[in-house]
Amino acid sequence: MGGVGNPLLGDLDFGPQFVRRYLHSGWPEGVLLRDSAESAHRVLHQLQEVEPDRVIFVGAYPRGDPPGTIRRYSVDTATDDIDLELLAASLGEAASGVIDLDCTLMVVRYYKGLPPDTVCIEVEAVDDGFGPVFSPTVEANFEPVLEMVRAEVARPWE
Amino acid sequence: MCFKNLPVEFDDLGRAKLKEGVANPWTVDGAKPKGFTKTKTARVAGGAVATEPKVRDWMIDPITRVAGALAVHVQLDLEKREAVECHSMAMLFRGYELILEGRDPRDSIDLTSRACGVCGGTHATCSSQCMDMAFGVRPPPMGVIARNLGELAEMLYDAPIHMGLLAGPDYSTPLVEATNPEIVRKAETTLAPHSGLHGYETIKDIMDAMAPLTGKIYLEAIQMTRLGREMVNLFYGKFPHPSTLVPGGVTTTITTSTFNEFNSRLIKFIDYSKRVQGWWNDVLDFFLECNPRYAEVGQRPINIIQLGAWDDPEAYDETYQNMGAWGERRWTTPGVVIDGKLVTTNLNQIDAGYEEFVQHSFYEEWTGGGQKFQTSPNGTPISPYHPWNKITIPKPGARDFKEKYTWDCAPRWDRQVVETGVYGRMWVTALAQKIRPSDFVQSTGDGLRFILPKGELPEMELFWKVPERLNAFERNRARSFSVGWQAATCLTVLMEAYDYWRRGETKAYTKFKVPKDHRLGVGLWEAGRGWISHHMEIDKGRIVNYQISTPSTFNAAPRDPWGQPGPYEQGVIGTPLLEQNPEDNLKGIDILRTIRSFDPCMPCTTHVDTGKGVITREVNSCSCTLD
Repeated sequence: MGGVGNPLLGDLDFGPQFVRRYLHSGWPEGVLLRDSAESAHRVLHQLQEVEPDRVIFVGAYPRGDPPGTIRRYSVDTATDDIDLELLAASLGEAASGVIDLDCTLMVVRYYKGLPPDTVCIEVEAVDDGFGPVFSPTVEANFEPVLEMVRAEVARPWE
Repeated sequence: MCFKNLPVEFDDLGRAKLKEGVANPWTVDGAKPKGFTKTKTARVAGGAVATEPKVRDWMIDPITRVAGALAVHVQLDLEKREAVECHSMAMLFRGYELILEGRDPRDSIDLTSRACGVCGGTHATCSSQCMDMAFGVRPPPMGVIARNLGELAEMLYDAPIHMGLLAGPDYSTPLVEATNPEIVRKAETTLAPHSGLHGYETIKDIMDAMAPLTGKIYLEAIQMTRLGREMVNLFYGKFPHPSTLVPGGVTTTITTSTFNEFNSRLIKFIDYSKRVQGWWNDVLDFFLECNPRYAEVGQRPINIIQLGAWDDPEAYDETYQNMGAWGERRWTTPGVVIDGKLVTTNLNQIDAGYEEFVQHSFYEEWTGGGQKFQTSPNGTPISPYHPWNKITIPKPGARDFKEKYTWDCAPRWDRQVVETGVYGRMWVTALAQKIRPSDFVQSTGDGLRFILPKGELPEMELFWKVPERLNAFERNRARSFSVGWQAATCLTVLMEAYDYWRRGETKAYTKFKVPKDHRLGVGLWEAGRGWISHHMEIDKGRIVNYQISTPSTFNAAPRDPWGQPGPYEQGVIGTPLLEQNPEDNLKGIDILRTIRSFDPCMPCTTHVDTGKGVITREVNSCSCTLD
């Protein structure tokens, strides 16, 4: 499980802080939690190193949904629909240090860093102001997301 | 006497004082500075000439394949086919100075590290040095060495990013095919002189390998960043935001295996460095052979400023008073080059000659309220425009090239336009001949000689010769040599580390207390891209003022009070348009090569303090197309 996000940027720090809060929460053997507060090519390198059977990304992202929204979606690991120009743009951003969940997903998909069973759990980011504090709705999302991750870990593999 | 313009003179003992009889010594309203540079083809600063026949106004926004939000306004003379005017624009406000105000100074290591996703370790190192000085805490030798190795590794991480992912594609087959197909045709039949070294038979084979996403050189660069990052992590714990840097050293638990792990990765970088200079030299020489006017792309006066890095553990005593002496003991020498001549290597003088101007930037002037510090801690007079006197007062407004047009300010040294970069680091170190004896690196006065030991490839001796011109190609050529030079320096420092380790000097930090009285500190260091300075003022255990200056603060600078264009602007003005496309389909590759040769990084733009705390994500992009 990788917590993707931007440290110290309010709600955007949700993924990395999720990993910190629940690192020692009785996960089954073989479950690895990683702080993936890193740009796309670095996450790719993490995945190439670990070669996981399944991946769960956790993070917060502003997509215009109501505050409190939690999204769960499977990541299509096929690469034939990737816009190569956009991909090059994403990788350029990553090389320059930008951390962005969509960018990360595109880059790791293209370079085949993901197993077929890859899931994202996202909360709707509300406040991206500087500092270590979450908005109330995102703070309230921690426990529900924890339960969702536990359910993902417990479900049979695809 | 290193200053030609500032009202400061030195006595026989090197003590500085204000020149006598100067009524308003720091005024910016007077005559143009000596050494005034306004590139020959530049038109009236900020003047609108877009309505003239055959002149095209062109806004490139954003410049892709750079870090951060950068835009450039260019005016092209379509008859002469060259750029005649340029304005460089940093598009977002960097709010770190405001974020840091009032905080515990120790927070600055973590917070300033966030200024950049590539050079975070450099900022953290600079911040820790600020506190070394302000707290009066001297790191033990192993603490200095650990910082040196962490920072050398960070430079090794940085180089493949620029050469492989950012600048490299400008010389790749797909992009050159779109602008100069005749060059690609010639490249198909031109054998690569260093093919035995790098394995690419023809120049076109190299250009193919430079292609974005799929090219072998591009992909190898991504993998090399992994290796560099692992090396940084061994001493800094985490990258790009280190977890082990503290005032007085590092908290890393260092063992012999730390050094061995580091060395095993360094050997791979040494092999990479042999090949990377080979293919870059082949490509650059080939382009120049195709058209010698490529030497005019990005050319500007040889005015360079560097702060040096990688300290001598025996010399570094963290004091401002001795900074000139310990600075000159660094493995890369601090210095200023004006018109190709080295004018100082003294960090005290470099710091004292530094000013920032905001006449063309979205900030308020701050000097109306008087000058807080008249001198630096060693008694050298400093300007009201010096960072210790600077107050950051944002003043957003409409863009106007005659008035304000950028969030960058205009740093100048002795009121002259200077640029900074890894090539400048090499330039100054080569001219100065001050580095200590080493089995691996030597400064010869006209270049840098370095030995790269045997790895998978045989041992090689390389020599980078100080170029006669400062232009886009020579910036990139030097950068390709920089991997080997920095790897050889890394090896030198690693040998030094083993020596201290064998002597039992393994302690890597000195305990400190946060002082409660008024103190000043400065961290002067180098990022992959050049100059990094942090100036800090603390009182009652809190930050009163913190000022950060980065390489792109210098290089992307706008006009100054005298109308001198900044380095990007000077580099673009006069650049010929050598692409073959007709004027209605210009791609601007030569302009982009100019800008990217500086390795632009508009860092610190991701964290914006607008008072409401709204953060704007960077929207720059890398693109494999030119449009």
